[in-house]
Amino acid sequence: MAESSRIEEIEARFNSIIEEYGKFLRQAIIQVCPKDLGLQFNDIEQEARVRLWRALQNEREIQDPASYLYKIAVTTTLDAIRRVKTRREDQLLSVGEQDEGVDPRQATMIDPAQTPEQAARRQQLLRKVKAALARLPENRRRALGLYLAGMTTQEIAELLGWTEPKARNLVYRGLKDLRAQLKAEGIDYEID
Amino acid sequence: MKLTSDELKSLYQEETSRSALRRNECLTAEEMMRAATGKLSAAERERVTDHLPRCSDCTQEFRLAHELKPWAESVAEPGRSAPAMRLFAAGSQTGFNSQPGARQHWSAIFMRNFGFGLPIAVLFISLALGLWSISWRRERGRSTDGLKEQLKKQNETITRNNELLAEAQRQADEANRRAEQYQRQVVELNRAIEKLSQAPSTISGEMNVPPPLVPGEPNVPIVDLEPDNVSRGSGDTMARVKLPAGNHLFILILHVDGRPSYPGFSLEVLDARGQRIWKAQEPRQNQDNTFTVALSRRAFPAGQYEIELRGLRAGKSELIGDYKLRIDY
Repeated sequence: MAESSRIEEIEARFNSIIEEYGKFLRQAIIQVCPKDLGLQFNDIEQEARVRLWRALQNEREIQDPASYLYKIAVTTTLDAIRRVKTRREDQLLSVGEQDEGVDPRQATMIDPAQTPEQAARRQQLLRKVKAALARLPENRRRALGLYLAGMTTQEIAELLGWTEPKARNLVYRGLKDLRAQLKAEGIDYEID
Repeated sequence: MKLTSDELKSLYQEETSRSALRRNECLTAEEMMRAATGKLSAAERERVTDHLPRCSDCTQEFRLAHELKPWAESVAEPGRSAPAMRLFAAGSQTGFNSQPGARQHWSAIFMRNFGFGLPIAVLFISLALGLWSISWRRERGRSTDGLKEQLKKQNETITRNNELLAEAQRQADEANRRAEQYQRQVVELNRAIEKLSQAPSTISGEMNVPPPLVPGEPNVPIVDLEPDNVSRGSGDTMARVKLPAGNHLFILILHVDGRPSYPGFSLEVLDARGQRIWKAQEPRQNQDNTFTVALSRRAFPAGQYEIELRGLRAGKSELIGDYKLRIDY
């Protein structure tokens, strides 16, 4: 009896949160979810709702439902993205392992459209870039690494607790150092 | 060789993409969330900022989570509806706004194209929205039912797993109990072994080596023992046996009252705690109504002993004599 009334209470809370924030949950998932991975928004949304239900069932105190749903939306989507990527990568790895003498990690990176010469040149270029990066001072290397990995200077600043001009300055100086070092290696790198 | 900024980025991101070999180093979704919302501890921030430049996949995921941060903040604020809805609507602009003059503009379009004004259009739209709302609620009801069903199944699985876990726990407890029992037995055995290993040195006393095997031994002490239940004289019935250093054997003559008649006899030597330490094989009654027994110094360290002599008949034993003695070396 007490159990059924508890479930009813959870259901009421669940419905109330979904009533108010359901649209935002879905919209958050749609915004976070990459479109090119073949992920189903409905599946992710369903999984996110299950997580919310479990949180309520475990009597977790949800003081700020919006933030909580944001968190659920992001973590559920990231988990789904990782599952898909892992599956693809594992398939590639299993193919790579069948081919004796090929490093599975390298096998996932080699573009089949490249000629052996292009691939070799690319590997050489990579080695030089990595060596040049390794020689940079700590802060420049960190800022430049994040920049090259795809972050904006604003995002770098927020992550590292710097001001945006400081992040921008360090990225710029890092790029300049990198350019000088690559030029010494015979690579003409143009800073935009 | 020429390299543009985009090419460099692309090269770097491919090189640092997540691979199976480094997958376990990546940030968890939870860590990613905390990083995106700026809620990391100093140590966590160190790890995150160390990892992100080396993993373009995590960086991409971080950016996705980070982009939504302003949205979450706007939803959480008291006057949240406007900015949140603006963002919500950003992906699917309807083009229907409430700027001054817009109403007349749309009304004119409706009049020109359909022959009725804005109020009628609003009425139609309201009706359509009402129907859509009913349909949406039904759909939501079905979705909730599906969700409930899924949760039910998951709960059943959890219950089954809990039962299996409880069974495994019970078996583990049982195994632990047995292990403790074996442990105790091992400790007791070790004690017994230790005691046994000390016994010869105690018995051989100062010599500290086992006595040599000799065909015979002269001057063997012979001690007469009267049964305890027929003590005579002072009442102190404890016989004392003092063995000279060169002797390894001593003989006890056990006297009995009357002439007991039994088909068989048993003789047991007990230590001071009443534990049996030796039982004689088929002792026989002598002509003079006594029993004799030779004991080895090695087997009986100095101390107090009790000898029980019993008569055996029809599977029952009766005490004939109880003898107490103290052995000193």
